[in-house]
Amino acid sequence: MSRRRSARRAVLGALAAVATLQLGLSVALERFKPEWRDPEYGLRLRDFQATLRPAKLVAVLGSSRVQMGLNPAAFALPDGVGAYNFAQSGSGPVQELLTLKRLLAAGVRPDFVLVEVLPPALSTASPVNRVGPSERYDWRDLGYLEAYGDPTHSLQAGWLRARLTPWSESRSVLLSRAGAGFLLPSAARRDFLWKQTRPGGWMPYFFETVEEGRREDGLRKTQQEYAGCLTDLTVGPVARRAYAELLALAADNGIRVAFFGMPESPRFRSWATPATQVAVRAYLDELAVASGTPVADLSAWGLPETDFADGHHLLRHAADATSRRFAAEHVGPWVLGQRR
Amino acid sequence: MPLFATSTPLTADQLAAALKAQEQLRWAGEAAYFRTLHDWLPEPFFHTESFFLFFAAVAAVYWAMPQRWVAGRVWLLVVASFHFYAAWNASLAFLVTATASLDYVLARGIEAAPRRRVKQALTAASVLSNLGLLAYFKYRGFFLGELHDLLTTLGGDPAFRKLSPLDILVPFGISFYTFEAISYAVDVYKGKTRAERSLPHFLLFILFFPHLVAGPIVRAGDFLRQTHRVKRWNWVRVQVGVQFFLLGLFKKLAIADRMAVYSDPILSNPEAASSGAIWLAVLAYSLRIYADFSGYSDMAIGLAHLLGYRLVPNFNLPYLAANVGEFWRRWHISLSTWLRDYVFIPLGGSRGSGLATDRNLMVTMLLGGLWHGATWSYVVWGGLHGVLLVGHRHFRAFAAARPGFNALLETKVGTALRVGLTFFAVSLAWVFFRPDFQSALVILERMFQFDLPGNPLPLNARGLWYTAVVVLVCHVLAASGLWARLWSRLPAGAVGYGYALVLIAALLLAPEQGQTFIYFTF
Repeated sequence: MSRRRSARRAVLGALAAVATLQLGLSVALERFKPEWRDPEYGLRLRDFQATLRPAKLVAVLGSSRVQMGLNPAAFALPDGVGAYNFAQSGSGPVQELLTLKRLLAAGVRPDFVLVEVLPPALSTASPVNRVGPSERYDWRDLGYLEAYGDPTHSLQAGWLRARLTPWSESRSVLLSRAGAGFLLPSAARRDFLWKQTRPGGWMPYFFETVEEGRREDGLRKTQQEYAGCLTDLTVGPVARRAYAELLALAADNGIRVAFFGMPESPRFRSWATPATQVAVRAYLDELAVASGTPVADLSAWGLPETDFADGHHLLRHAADATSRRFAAEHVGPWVLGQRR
Repeated sequence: MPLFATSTPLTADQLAAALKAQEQLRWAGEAAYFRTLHDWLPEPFFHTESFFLFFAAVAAVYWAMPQRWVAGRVWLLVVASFHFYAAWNASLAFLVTATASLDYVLARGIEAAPRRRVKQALTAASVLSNLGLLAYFKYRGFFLGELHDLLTTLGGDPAFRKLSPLDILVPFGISFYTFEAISYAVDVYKGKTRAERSLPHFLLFILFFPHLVAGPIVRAGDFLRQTHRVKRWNWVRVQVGVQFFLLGLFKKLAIADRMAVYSDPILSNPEAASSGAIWLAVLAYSLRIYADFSGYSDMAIGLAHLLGYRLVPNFNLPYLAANVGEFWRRWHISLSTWLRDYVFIPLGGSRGSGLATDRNLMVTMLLGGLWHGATWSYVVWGGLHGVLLVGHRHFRAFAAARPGFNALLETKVGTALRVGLTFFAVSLAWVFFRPDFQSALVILERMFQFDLPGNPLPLNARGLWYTAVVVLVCHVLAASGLWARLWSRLPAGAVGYGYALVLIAALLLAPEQGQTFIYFTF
């Protein structure tokens, strides 16, 4: 072969190979490997499908508070009823709705759904009631989310970019999956998601205990993130619309829904102004009426500051205790009541 | 009038934020056309998606032009290069174009002048205008600051304030294109090069975007000839261009930016770091500087090939150098040969006494250090290399007089030891290759106290060691010729697949936060 023909073949071959590799990974991310683009959801779905097939399923939806704070293995539920923690960090009403839609689309139809109400996420200004990052979602998810997208952020454009250059956009997860997580800064590592997650979807807090100085740092960060939302909060239209759609979807599929609020530390609770407390209480009452089930507000339990890592994420021992008590006082009776 | 007057030193974060705010303010006052251009091409870096689109558009139009339209293609590249620079700073793009035009006119005058005195005066005008530009933009703050300190120390009132980094906007690549313009004027004066008749061809020599902001420093005699040649699409050349570009991209994303994650947090705050972490951070910094600058040069060479131009090679496995003299024949070759031809040799080179040669080496390297940055740390870095070169010159003479010892040095073990020692010396000198002189002293102090506790590396050191081993193995494979032999025997399809894998690996290994090119600030 002449030098020129060989060079042309090498260059065009490279272009074809790059296109094939990018396209191949995009197809895999879209269709076959949800855990590579959205490990928090994808791994839980895979784990659930592989291990748990209860006669009756209680699916728990929520944020990192739930992810770390509720251990389904500690739920003492009636025979034939199993619980799975599908919570994902940063989830607010929209992500919870999306998770339910994804589960139904994946052929998982829970009988009961426990939905965490995260008070700061109710506010329009909340950092957790928006959608994204786009690379987590597949094309069908975009359709679900379209009505909730931030108008300044084009979900489709972000998704397209992620799918055109998947080796770059999904590199943190890919490297973590390939056992090369040590190449990444700790903030970018994802391998803890599968190393830390226990059967049932519970991902306990990283440490058994937290030193006081570290807790103070955590509280400072939490305050920076949430205190603004807890000042004279009003429940925004996004949260209302998402929960209304979730309830309608559940009703269409014969799923019972109960809302609950996770425990909060005294310091965290102190950031909510009286007006916020009134607004949240009123909205929880609305949800109770809409779902036909009283809202279990665990924040009223008054757990001490030392049960939390940073004001709202429960430490392991407190998560176990909270799970047992929550199941005994609320989930068990609710499930039994529905069964009768 | 500076936008931000400061009386107290800013922290690095404050400075970065203030610079960003200043840039936003500057762009707000810029013409809408250039603002839009800036939005499309916000950074003059080769490894961004926006640059990829820019280059694809330029290359498509360039090759779509009939090949006989040599002038049209030259104009296209001049306009594209101007826009490439204007997307970063429109006013400075006009300034660079204007000074290049002045150099063009002066060179025509140098060639046409009938008298030697006039030729000398015009050459001096060209050289001084370029040095003046360099002094105003790059060294004004440094020299005024030193003068301010001196007057204050002597008890006088300086009657002016020190400039803050916010007062000084150094045009990207100013050190590169002023050196190109100076060598052109000198070469025309000496009759080594004919003065270019065509303004666009000359502008392309200075503004050609692949080498504009960080070299390689091209010589007029080499480049201008190429601008007049008819360029034909050539798959072999395209392959060479793609190969260079991918190699550079991999060096930049997978090595340089990754090594910055290890080195930057430690070297910017050495007081808090342990001795072990500092040693490893210095190793990471050595790898970073090499991969960053040689990666940029490779990308520039590759891009130029894709447009039918050949730029001079800038690196030749410098960390395999067995002594500092060899290191400088392998590192930033376009600068070291420029300094040799336009500073060292005019000073007398090695033609005089041993002492004169030592002096010439020291002066050349001190100027070389100052060329990199207007701070004492770069001067010290240049001075250290000067000392190393002088030391090596004497050691070479010492060894040459002792054949047995010399033969020992030339054995494989002796060579390996010399390579290791050279790398060690060069790496220690890199400690000063940062703007902050005080930090460099702290780094050295803590390095040699060996067991000081402090912060560890921000990342698992395994990644650093793997990278060091990969770089070493690649160097050895390339130096032994094994890599070239293996590569040439692979079928074309496998070579193409190899290119794709290099690109994918670069994308995969790039850290979340990209880094600027170190040499863009010079």
